[in-house]
Amino acid sequence: MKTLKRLHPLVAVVLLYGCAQPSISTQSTDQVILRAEQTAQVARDTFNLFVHLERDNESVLKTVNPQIHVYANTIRAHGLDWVDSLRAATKAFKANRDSASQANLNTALATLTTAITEANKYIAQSKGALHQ
Amino acid sequence: MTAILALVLKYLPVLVQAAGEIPQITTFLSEIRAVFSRQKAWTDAEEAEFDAGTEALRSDPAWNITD
Repeated sequence: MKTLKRLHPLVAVVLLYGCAQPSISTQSTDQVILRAEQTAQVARDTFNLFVHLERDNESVLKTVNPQIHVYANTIRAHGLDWVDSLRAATKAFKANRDSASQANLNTALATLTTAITEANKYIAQSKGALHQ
Repeated sequence: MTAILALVLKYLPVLVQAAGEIPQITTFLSEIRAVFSRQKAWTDAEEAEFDAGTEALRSDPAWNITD
């Protein structure tokens, strides 16, 4: 029950947010910018959690799955540059809202989305390993 | 629903379960909640603050590659 009390507000916020949004074809450019900013923020928060969690438990996690350390170093090497690339693409789109700018923005979003997926996968593995 | 929301939903149960065990995840979830409750794009000042925060992480020891 304690877990449900914590879970409920977050799930509600995310679900309401998702349901309230119009389809991509009718989104205003302001919505595109908001989504891009949110993605940059989620990516940076996810990467920061991941590199700290991995560094704080590096020796244990290396024995659990060496790929956790490998991917943490990939994020250390490129993660902030990917966030900066998305920020630059977002600013370019704000300045010139044409299809070329949107295509660049979509490319940056795709890169970060893939990286967030991988980082979340390893965060989940780390959590499982640290609390078995 | 965008891919980023789908990702959050996919990993939410695992992360919420972990929140009681790993304090960093509690902080993370709080930040994510704030991100998705925002309805308007950043002001110039908010943009500058975010970009400065990203730059600051480059000097965080946890971000250094040590091997």
